[in-house]
Amino acid sequence: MNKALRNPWTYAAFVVPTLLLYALFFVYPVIVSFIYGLYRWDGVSPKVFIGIDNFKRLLQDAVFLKALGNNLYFMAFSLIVNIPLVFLIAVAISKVRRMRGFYKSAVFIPVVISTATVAILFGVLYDYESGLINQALRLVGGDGWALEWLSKPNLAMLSILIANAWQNVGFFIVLCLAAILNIPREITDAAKIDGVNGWSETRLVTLPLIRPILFVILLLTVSGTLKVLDIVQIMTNGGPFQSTEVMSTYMLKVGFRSLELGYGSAIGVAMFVITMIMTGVLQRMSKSEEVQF
Amino acid sequence: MKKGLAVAAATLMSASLVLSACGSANDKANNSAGTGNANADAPAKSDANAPANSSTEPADEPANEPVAKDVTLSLRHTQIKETSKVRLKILQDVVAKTLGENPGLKINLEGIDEVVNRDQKLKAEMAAGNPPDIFEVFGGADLNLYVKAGRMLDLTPIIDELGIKDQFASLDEFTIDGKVYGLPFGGYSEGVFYNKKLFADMGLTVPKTFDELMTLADAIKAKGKTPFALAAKDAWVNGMLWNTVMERHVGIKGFEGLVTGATKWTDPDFVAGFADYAKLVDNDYFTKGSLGLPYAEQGARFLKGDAAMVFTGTWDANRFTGDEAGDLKGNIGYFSFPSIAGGKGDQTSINASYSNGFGFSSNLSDDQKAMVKAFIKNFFNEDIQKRTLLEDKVLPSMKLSDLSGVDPLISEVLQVMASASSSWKAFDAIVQPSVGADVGVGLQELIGKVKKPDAVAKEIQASQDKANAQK
Repeated sequence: MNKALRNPWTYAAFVVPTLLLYALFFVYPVIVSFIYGLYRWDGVSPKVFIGIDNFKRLLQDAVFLKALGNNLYFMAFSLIVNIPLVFLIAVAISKVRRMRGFYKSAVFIPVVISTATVAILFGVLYDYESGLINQALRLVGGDGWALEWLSKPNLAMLSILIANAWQNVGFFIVLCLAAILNIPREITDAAKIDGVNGWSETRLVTLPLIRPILFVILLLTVSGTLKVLDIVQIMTNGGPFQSTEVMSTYMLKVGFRSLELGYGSAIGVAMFVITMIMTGVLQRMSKSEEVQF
Repeated sequence: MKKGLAVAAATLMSASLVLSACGSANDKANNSAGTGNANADAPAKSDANAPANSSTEPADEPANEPVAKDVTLSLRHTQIKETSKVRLKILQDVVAKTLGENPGLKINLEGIDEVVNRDQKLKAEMAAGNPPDIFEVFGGADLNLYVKAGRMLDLTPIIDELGIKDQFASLDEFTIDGKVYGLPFGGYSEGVFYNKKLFADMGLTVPKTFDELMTLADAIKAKGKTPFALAAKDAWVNGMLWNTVMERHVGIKGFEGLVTGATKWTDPDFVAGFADYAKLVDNDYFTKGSLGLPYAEQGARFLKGDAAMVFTGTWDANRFTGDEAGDLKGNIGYFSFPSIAGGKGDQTSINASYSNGFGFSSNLSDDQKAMVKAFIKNFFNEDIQKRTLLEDKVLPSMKLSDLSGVDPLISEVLQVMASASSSWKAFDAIVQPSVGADVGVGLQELIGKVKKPDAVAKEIQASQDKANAQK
């Protein structure tokens, strides 16, 4: 048996199928998208080769730049608001002894609901006339307090971000919580003997020890927010007047509404490259931070 | 020996993994491609049925008939919503009848979402050359593209032979260079549906001119109601009312000139059209917060009695005469958009179109073509058209001799259409898709009150210039 394990072909036999599928469903589409990005193509008629014109156009396309900006806004909001929130809630849950299971499931429930459902639910909540949020606001401050959540360009993006946060933090909280509960008792006990308690325990012991998990969350957030599609598509469809357009919704629109599949592919390639660079940089940063218990 | 065995086992296992994975991938490909290739080999195709497919075989096949040829046709429809189950039933009945008459024929029905079919699936299949045998298709820009690529079956000989060519109200949108590539199963017009009860309570009458409409809307607003229900999240919804306002100003020739460069969006009449639309917005005649509302909401608000009018297509007539209408059932009327003084368009014309229909794949075998003919004969006739009108409230695409038993709102719709001086097709069937998309953005900017009409016109013209330069 040992002999078989020393034969490299055994390993190859196990790896090849996955590699094949990976190549078929990931590598091939990426390469083909890049090639399509060099053409002007309506999807049916013959393609016209136009070199890197599509990519040059991207740099001057105000809507694409706006969409990229929205993706970065999305990312910034998730990093600055969601992740601290995740950490705080996770720490809070780790401190309670009673009903911890209940809290754990409670924060996780939104994750189980599909994004489409969440988007539609929040659409109802945000309704100007009959939405729960505006009704509450009207009760408190009268008619003037009611806001056009999804139809004012400056509010619409925020409304989506709130819905997205509600849905996504649960998953991260559970990840974070698992890491916190995994910290060996000896370490916290030792820290307590050294006079650490309360906030300083969280800051000096918990935070450094769960850094790897926080990094994973960071990475997932960055890649997740750069490719976000469903919640935006359903809640606002990129509107009003493209103020909440993100790269993926714009790609869909250009490719399938305006039938510019070449340019749409170029947008896809741009998304791919941007995400690669961002996650690549993060990976680099994480290399030096190994934590061992 | 042992080593060889282990390697063999591993290879086998991984191979089976690949195979099973490929198997499911293949299934998917088959399903999404429908039964693409034109060979009429029934057994080979039967395994491509998606679970959702209701493949129907002739139930009572006479045993002693001469052996019938096995022919399979795939049929893609989009009647999967709750609101379209009547239309689906009619389609199923036609299919069942066709199957009964043609032993050996097998028709695989596949229902998918309308938007997915139109924008993604059918387009991808057309690019790859494997559309379903029979499918729903839109006339105009979509069809043009597919005909250019040689994917559509020329139906001219079939309808000539069946003698139904002259029975259609209009085949314009499916005719390219004198050949017919699709058959509309229904038509629509776009106009104003209004709440008769509310109008009567407030002592209002149907407006004849744009100025009268403005006075009327002000009166409705003064009583605390919304004049027009509007859900502006999806651009095409806003396009409807605007399109008619614009036609009143520039005429259909004006729209056609945009593509050739004979007219420009920045011409004074066009800007006046945008300005009149902006007037409706600036006077707050539309539902508040409309930019965040999905299409279904505007009908809901109208039926709830919050809004006195809604500008939409007659496809909504079915909903407006259904149970959802409640008290309003029988109290809803329809009128053509009022005329605009000084406009260049035909002031009593209406946006009407027969663009929603069936198309057929060009790579059908002769046997399949014969069956397609049988299907057309069973689907496109007065009986089915009358049934569609009565049960589904879809306006017939063929001329009907008998109009008894029709719902009052529907007969009002038919009357309005009959009294229109001319009819024209929507702007997005005329201008390039990218321009249509930018019109959508521009209208939302007007509704959101972030841009002035002339600025919007300029932006759209820039997009038009770019699109014109590409062809």
